[in-house]
Amino acid sequence: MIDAKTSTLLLVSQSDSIKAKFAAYITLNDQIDVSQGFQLRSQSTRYPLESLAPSLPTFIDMPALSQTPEVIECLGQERISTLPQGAKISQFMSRFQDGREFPAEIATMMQANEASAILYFIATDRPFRQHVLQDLSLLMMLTKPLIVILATDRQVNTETEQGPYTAVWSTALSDLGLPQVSINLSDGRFLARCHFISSLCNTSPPLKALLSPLIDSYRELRQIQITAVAEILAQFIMDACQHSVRESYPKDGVPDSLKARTEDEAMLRLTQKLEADLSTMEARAWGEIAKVLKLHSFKPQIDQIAAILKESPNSLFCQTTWETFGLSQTQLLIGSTIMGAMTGGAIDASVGGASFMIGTAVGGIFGALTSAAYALGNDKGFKLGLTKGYFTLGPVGHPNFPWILLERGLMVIADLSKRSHACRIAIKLGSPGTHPRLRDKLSHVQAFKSRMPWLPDRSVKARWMELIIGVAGEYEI
Amino acid sequence: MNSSRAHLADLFDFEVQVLREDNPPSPTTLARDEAIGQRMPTDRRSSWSQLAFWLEEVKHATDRTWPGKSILEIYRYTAAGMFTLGIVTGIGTTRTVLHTNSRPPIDIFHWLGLFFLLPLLLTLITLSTLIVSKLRSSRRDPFAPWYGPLGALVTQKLVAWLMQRYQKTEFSTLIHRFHVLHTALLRAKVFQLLQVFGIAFYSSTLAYLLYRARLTDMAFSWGTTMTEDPSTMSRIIELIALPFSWLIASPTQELIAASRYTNFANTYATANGAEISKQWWVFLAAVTATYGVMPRLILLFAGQLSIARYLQNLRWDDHVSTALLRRLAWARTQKILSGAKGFNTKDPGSQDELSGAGLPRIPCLIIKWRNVDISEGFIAANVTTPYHLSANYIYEAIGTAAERKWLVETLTQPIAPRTVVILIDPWEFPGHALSKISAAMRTSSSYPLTILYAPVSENPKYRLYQQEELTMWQAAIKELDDCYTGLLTDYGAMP
Repeated sequence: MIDAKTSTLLLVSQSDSIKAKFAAYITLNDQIDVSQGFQLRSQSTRYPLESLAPSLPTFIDMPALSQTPEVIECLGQERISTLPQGAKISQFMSRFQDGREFPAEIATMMQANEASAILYFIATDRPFRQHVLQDLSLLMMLTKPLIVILATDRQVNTETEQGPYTAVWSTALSDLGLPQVSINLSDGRFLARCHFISSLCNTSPPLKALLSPLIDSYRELRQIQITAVAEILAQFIMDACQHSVRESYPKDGVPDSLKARTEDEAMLRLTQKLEADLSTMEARAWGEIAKVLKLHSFKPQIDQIAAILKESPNSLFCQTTWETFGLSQTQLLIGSTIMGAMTGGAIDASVGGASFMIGTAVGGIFGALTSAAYALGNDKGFKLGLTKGYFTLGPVGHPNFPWILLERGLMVIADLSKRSHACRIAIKLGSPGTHPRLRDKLSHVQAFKSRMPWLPDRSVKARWMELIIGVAGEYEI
Repeated sequence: MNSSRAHLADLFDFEVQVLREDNPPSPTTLARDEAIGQRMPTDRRSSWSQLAFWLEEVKHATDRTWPGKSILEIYRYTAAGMFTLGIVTGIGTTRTVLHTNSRPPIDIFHWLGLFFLLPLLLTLITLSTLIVSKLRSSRRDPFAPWYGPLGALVTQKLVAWLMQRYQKTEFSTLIHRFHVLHTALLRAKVFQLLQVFGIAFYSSTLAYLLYRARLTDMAFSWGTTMTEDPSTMSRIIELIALPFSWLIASPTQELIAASRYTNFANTYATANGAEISKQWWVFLAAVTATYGVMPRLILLFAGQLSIARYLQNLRWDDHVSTALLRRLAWARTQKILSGAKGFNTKDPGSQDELSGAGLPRIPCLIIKWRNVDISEGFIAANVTTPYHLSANYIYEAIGTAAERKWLVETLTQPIAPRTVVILIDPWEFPGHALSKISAAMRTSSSYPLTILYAPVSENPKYRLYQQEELTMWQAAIKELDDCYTGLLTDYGAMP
């Protein structure tokens, strides 16, 4: 009976980097050092999976093998070569047990005694080299289940993206009769990860017993993460739709001749502040989403948001964003009509139906006209008010505003959830062209047909979350 | 500065500039070195004179502080401090020994113990170290005779402390380079400081003795439980006085007999013993000068000569210096040849022209490491021709003991190349196997063996000069911490 909690799986390779990337990929930890470099490491590194579930085994990253040819040479010496395989290894280990001569090889042999299986990694971005087969010959002598992982970390363009030399390696390894499993360490999709674990499980029953709970753990984690990011995004949309800014009106008053100019200047300042605040809130929300997805390297430059407000094509308040994201004009009109009608319906209800649904009709028309006005113009819905000695600006009145925030948020969540924890290049958020369009997907979603959830109402958060979770599948989140 | 001998201050400045250089050399650095190489006068033939010219040019072009002179100033102040300490301790020790209020009177054995026996022992230890080290000396450590066990201990401890204190800083790299390349020089300078202390100590002892002899009334004595025969003492004294007996008469038997002091009787052996015993001061002064001061002076002077010879014979064969000299030589040669006629690097004839114009071919042993997939044609086009190498051997290795044995045997031969170029896949950073081979090759040669790594691939994706991999390789080479190992690309290649 295998005790998964104490079981270990050895990660062996000639490259430390590929094993570290695998560890990051499997444990969803983007803070593991995956850099290439000088390989004189003699200590192994343990990567437990208990953060995912307590019953999962531990991966042990062994120091990179580098002296296998000499080890094979030693094992071929006269007095050892005639011994049975197991005895050969024992003899070798007792002769070099201090680890000074062959530190990585001795460490691997010693650790293999207690391991459940050995995973040997080959980087399929690199051409075939004969000496790698000597590593496998040595590991096969250790009489533990040995699986070859053909790994690449090429950026994923298609679901089956593999390294350029995968076929060459696969052919070269076929004579050894070892099970092979391919993996693209840049493909962070949940399905890809589960598919890999599933393939690994199929190579041997012991591995199946050890690793199949991992798929359940990933699934469970995914559900938790989707709910958490939906909550963050919903809260952000609600907060953003209620956010306003203000500055004090000059205490001594303003002469009539200067009133317009004062208002214009105040409008300009408050517009800049409102846009900066909302962009900062958005960046903060995205940062929290990244944390939920365990992506610690994604840190939106909150301090520099103001500097990129209008210049960046990805910024919240650039014209392209307002023209591209959110709902279509038709959808906005329909939505406004429904909203207006519902408001009117409340009036009708309040007078006990005595208005004969006129309130509903009028409200509907008014809502439609308002929406039409916003949709047809460039106005983002910024209205300067003067209340109790303060100039105030906001909340943003444009009906498409929450939908813009929603669509941008969904794109970010989609990009981040596909991000592999093995990647270390800067996260590049995709352009609208790489994602499905919200206006296309929402028409399929039941929630759109119900009340438009953009009024500040506590119960609305739940409906936003429901909407986000409902549409998440369309974005392959 | 057209001298073949480096000056200490310049040596320090050169090493500091090595630290400041880009590693690997950036295009700006390469362009600068090429320009300097082309300006170099043709009469600069020795390695140091070329490096000195380069250093001068770099100093003119930059506005930076140069620590060489300051370091020497610090050394001089330290030497002055040691000298002062020597004087203070010498006088203090001598005062204690010459304390005339005690009974019995000043015992000459105390004096002989401190100012004859002790310096003699130290000198004998130094000379025996000289002999042993001479028998075992390697060319890398010409100062082996001079540092002695105390000097070696001091420098070892000092270097270890400095490297621990400043680890992972540029200063630790500087210490490391000095420790590896110039450790004998460091030890010699420390040894000199010890001799300065010794000279001050014994000179002040001598001066104080003379001062006391001139201005006070001292009585000397000797006594022993072991023998009653003054003639034995006389023979011992004659032996001690042998080196200076031609200059100063050794103490007479009468003096020796008369100045014997008996503790029981608390008196001299003769009635006029106290009066006669005063004459001992001459002998004691001569002993101090002969066994204390003179050997230290001789050692100091000989050490200075050795340092000068060391600086004269510095070979500048570490990787950084060699690579720089190579780049300067290439630039100078290019200038010579391009002025004469159209120079075509693809023309096989041009390789001989390069050699003729002062850029010698580097004989080397090429190792193709772990099935690196490159053809002989590729090696010729991308390795031996651009870097003007002469491949004496091309050997395929994967890291077995048999290969190590072959390499050691090959490199032990009298005309073996002193440079090894390892052609290697760009992702195969040096591991234990290569470290073992490198260590084995080094022990085979009495000369420092230069090992150059050349990450290569015929696949354009992994082409030799991919910057990202070069940067990683430089980091890997730096971790090896070997002053005689580097990248082939540091030599600069023909375009």
